[in-house]
Amino acid sequence: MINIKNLSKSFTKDGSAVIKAVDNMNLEIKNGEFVAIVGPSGSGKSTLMNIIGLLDVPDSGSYILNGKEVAKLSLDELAEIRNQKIGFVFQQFHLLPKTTAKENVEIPLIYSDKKDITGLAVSALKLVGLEERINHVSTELSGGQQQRVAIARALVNDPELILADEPTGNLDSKSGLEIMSIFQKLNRSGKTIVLITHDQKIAEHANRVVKIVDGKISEQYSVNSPRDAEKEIAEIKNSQEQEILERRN
Amino acid sequence: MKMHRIIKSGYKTVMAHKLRSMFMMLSVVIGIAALTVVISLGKGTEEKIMSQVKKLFSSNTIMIVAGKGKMESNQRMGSSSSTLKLDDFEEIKNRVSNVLEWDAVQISPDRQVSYSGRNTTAIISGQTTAAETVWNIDVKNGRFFTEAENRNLSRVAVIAPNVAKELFGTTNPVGEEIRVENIPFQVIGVIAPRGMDPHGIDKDSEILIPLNTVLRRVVNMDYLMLGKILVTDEKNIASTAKEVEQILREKHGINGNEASDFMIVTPTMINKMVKDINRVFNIYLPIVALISLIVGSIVIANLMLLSVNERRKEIGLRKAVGAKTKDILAQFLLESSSITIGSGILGIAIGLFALSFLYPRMGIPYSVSWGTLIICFVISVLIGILSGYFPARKAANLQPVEALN
Ligand SMILES: Nc1ncnc2c1ncn2[C@@H]1O[C@H](COP(=O)(O)OP(=O)(O)OP(=O)(O)O)[C@@H](O)[C@H]1O
Ligand SMILES: [Mg+2]
Repeated sequence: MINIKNLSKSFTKDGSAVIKAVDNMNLEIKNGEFVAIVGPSGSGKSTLMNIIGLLDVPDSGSYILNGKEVAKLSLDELAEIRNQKIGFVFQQFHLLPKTTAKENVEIPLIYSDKKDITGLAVSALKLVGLEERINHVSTELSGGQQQRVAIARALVNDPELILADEPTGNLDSKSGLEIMSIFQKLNRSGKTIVLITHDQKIAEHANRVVKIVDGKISEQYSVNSPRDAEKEIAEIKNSQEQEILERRN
Repeated sequence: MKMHRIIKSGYKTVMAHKLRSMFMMLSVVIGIAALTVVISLGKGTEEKIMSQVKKLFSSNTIMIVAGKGKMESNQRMGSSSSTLKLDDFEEIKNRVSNVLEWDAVQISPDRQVSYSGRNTTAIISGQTTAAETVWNIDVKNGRFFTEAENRNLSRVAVIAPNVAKELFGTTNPVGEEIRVENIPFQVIGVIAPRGMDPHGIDKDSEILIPLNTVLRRVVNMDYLMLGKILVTDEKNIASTAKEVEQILREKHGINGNEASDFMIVTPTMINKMVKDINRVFNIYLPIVALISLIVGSIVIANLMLLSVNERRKEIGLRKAVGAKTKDILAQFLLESSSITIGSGILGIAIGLFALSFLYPRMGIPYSVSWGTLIICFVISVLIGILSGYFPARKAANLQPVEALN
């Protein structure tokens, strides 16, 4: 699905110093994979993700998405692919203020030809377990709920590829696990998922971990038995109940 | 097909920023309201003047006024210029083929008129027998005077309704004898009301008497105040007027650059005169209103730019989830033009309300036409597009990453 060869992107900082955010990188991600990208802050993870998500363009190298050389596509074609094929989840959620959960999820559909946008938005919100919060304004929701609205928005057009840039970074560990269980379910249903995280435990929910340092892949490995977020949530519940029982005794 | 969704989504943001939207609306509302009022007042006064002028000045009419001065100066008092005489008109009639009819007039205002003890003042208007057709006079009761009566200096009078009412009340004036100062006249007819003429002469207080009778027996002179010519072919009225002017100048011995001792007035001149009088309404005030609209669109453009900067994240997000450049452009253009169209409609409504409120209190005539409303509406759409274009283009060209960070 994703084929990146000799990809580079640099930024000039304060006018002079050039920072190679992505440095001659090669990366291949196959259909149906769940890949976690880890690495220290400033190593170029977001830059890479933005290029993969067609939000940014590389300086050099080639990026082939679904067999198409991205550099040859027009702005409108890129917008179309972002709309139809890619779902992006941001660390800061990026929900519109003063707008309900449902209206936020409807936004990608506004730019598609799909009919019944409300029905699709509602079923995407159901998928992330927010059926009771459909008409809540985004600021009335908790962080975990806001991130789930953002995931519903990424899902609503039924994309093949879901990109998530630190989706659990701003959440407590339980909300983080809930998000990961949604991603794992999506992956089981056939979606390709690329996820950035700082958190080693979160990364171990993926099938493969790619570590980036200074814009280069420093190591990558398959996860033999990924963590199961649903089980972990159940365990937390159990131990909490245990604790309560113990305290009573 | 996606348009209505974009409109709906844009409407929400307008409603979400009520205060800013209201500021954007304010100047356009004021400007459009002012424009509606000014254009309608201009049209109203123009139409009123025109309709009065048309009453005595239909499009097949040429007027010849004695003297060099302005038309208004002498009319109320009767002419003291001794330049225009009956044979001038006879010559014109003989030499200019396009002349259908002519009438010449001499007036003597403020004459005491009496009938068996009752008194009133009236305007004595000496006219030829052609007056009936040339001035469109409608004799309601009795008859108009004849050529023989004019030739014989008969003392006959056709009176206007106010004179009839003052002197006769409900009795029938026809056949009775009135006195103009000391001269007795026999009333032979009463005419239908005609109202005021554009110079403020009350046509309903006139007594029409054969011109020759007036010249010899009342004013005792042989020159005229003015004459009116009807032409056969309206299309050639300009060249006919030129011809008439040439003949009169020649006859009066005026050469080269010397000014004429008479003035020729044609319908086009009258139209131009009315338009000139109305220039304040038709040009200057609309320009003031337009300037306020230009200021309004600058305000809108700036507030839209502010809005684009504030909403970089929203724009970035929309682009990130698939909005094309033209979608964002359309959204912002629709936002700005929906604001100005809303303001335009509100402005028109306020303008119309102000007109209907002011009219009974100030008595300034106004005339609202579809044309005016459409002009105001189109201007509001244009302001929306013009003031929204640059901010919208700025928004549309934002890179999704730049906008999101
Ligand atoms: N728009 C930009 N302009 C200038 N420098 C940038 C820009 N975006 C990223 N950089 C620089 O490029 C490098 C890589 O940034 P990037 O955001 O990709 O790192 P990251 O791995 O996502 O870090 P973090 O874990 O903190 O999110 C950093 O040094 C950053 O300062
Ligand atoms: Mg980052």
